[in-house]
Amino acid sequence: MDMHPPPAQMQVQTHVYVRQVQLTPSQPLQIAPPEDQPQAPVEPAPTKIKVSDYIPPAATSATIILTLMPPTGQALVYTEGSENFGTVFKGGRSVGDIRLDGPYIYVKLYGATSFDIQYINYRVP
Amino acid sequence: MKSKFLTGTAMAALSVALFSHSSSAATLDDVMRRLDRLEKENAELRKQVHGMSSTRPVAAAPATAAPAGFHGNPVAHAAVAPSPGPAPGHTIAGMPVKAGPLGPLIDNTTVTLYGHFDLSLDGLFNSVYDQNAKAGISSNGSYFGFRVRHNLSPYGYDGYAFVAQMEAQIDAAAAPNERAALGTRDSFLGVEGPWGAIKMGKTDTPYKKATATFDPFANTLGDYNSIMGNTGGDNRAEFDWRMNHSIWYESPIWNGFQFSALASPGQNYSQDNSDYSYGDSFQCNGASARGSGSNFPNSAGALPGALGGNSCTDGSFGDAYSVAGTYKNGPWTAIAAYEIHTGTNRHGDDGLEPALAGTPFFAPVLLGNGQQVLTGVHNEWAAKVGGGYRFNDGIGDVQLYAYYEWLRRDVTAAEDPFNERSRDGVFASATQFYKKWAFSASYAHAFATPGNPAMLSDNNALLAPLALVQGNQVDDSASMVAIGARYRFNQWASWYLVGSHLWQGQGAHYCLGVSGHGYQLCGRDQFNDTIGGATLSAVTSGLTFDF
Repeated sequence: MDMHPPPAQMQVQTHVYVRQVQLTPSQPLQIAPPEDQPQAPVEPAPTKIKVSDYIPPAATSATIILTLMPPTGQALVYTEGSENFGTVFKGGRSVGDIRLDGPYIYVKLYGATSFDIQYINYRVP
Repeated sequence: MKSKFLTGTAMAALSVALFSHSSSAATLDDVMRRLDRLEKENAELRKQVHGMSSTRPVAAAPATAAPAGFHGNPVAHAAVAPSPGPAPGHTIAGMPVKAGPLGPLIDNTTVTLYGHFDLSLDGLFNSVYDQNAKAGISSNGSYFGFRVRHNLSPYGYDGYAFVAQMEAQIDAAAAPNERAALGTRDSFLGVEGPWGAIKMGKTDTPYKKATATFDPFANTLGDYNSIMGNTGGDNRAEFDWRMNHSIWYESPIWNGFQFSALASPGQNYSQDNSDYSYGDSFQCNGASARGSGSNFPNSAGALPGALGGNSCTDGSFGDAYSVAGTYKNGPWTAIAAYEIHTGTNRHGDDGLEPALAGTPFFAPVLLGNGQQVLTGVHNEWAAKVGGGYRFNDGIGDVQLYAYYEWLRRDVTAAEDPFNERSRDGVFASATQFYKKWAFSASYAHAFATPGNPAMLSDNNALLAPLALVQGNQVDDSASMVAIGARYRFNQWASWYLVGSHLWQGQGAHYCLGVSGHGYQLCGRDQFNDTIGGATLSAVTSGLTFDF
């Protein structure tokens, strides 16, 4: 029997639904705000992390473990100017490779409020 | 989930109906209208999320600086992000899948394709009487690979993953052969977790990797392995090795410190490691593919016979162990590493491999003064310590590296006069960065060894075939300098220009371009006579591209 939790992609979708059912009867008028106040999705502000303290500048990629709180959150880790080529980490604690290009990386949180980075390894060409 | 949504919606509607004292048909209609509007908004939101393309432009939000004192491991709190998640991945027939179009359809698995190209145009200047100046085009340590990571977190193993890698050398310029077959470079299967990683397969040893970043001219004709990690001169750096049939551990990086250890069983058919290892066909342990000592048919020193031929007598070793500790924190770097190759068979030098007794290949070797060469089977080991410092001199960053190395073969006193495997070495490099430029210089020196088992050749067309230079009677120290510049278009693409020069005593036979360059420039004539003390120079210019 497949006892696996729902795949992460499904969690992305359910996340949208959960956000809607958080509305409570005591706030009926907040369910549908006035139409003159559109709710555009807000991109989270990235957190800038200096990696060059522990990773040699010549490294082109690193393996990290990213821990997210709450564990239902996700994070996008990328280098400056390369947000479209970032690595998505899904909570709570997952391993992944990130590309490096300079001394900093950026972390954007989606549905998470805090994170922790553990450096596992790095690669030099 | 949809039923939960409907239930929640119904509860909301019911609550509104029950607790609204001014309930009326009109109020219920209002609620229903709001619910309709909510449905539409949900549909719109779903449409927006699904419509997020990986190529869409994203406005750069101002970055939040990491909290003061953040060093990577502490928890860093960021702002609450009430926004949609990253764009969903690919779908097939409407069903979400975890990998890209080229990846496997395995849940929670990522596939990373990566590679490195380094091709150069070389000018070769050799003092050997019949070599002179030549031009060459070389592919230098180019490779292609893929790494597959299966994340175990969703299955209850938080922070753990299976990781597999297959990496192949790419001889982009040379004639094709099986030396560049799939899996010829670092290839493994292992488990990663918060405590580090354990992997099995083949990989660069911890000893090799400990100083990999120290050499600004790695894989060029100024590569430091011309001397460093190179016990006998020539074109094999025994202690800059990719170890076959290995198991190894890599710790996480803890406040800049990382520890790694590797073990490789010799798994040899022969007690003195003179045969092939289990699983290694026509390839002696401790020799590069098709290289000297490999015993590949017609390679240098190869003897006839397959398994049971006992022909691995040019550096074939048994069990090997390698450990390294590295520390990088801010501008400081420090390393210490050790590696041992047990039972290294050097009977190829003394002609006394016991298993070959009674064959034409069993014969004592005598030097010019009548000394009988004795080399035997002994452990060989290496150790090194070093460090680096990075600072800004007003022009740009300056990176300094240096380390000292001990290479040893544990021979008896009777074998010491023929021991060319024990010596010290030293290396230093400096790089000045200026915008996208890096200007580097390096120096390596090999101190003299206690002995030498060979007769070398004079640099003369008539005398060379006679091999009249007794190696253990003359100096065999060597030095190499290299200077060069590299322009980085970005982190992934660069152009470089390097010049290197190697000079050595008459008993030495070091080469340029060892361990990484597509070929080596050695003091050999057209008959493969080893010309002692050849002076070697090269200039090389090439492009590198990583992806």
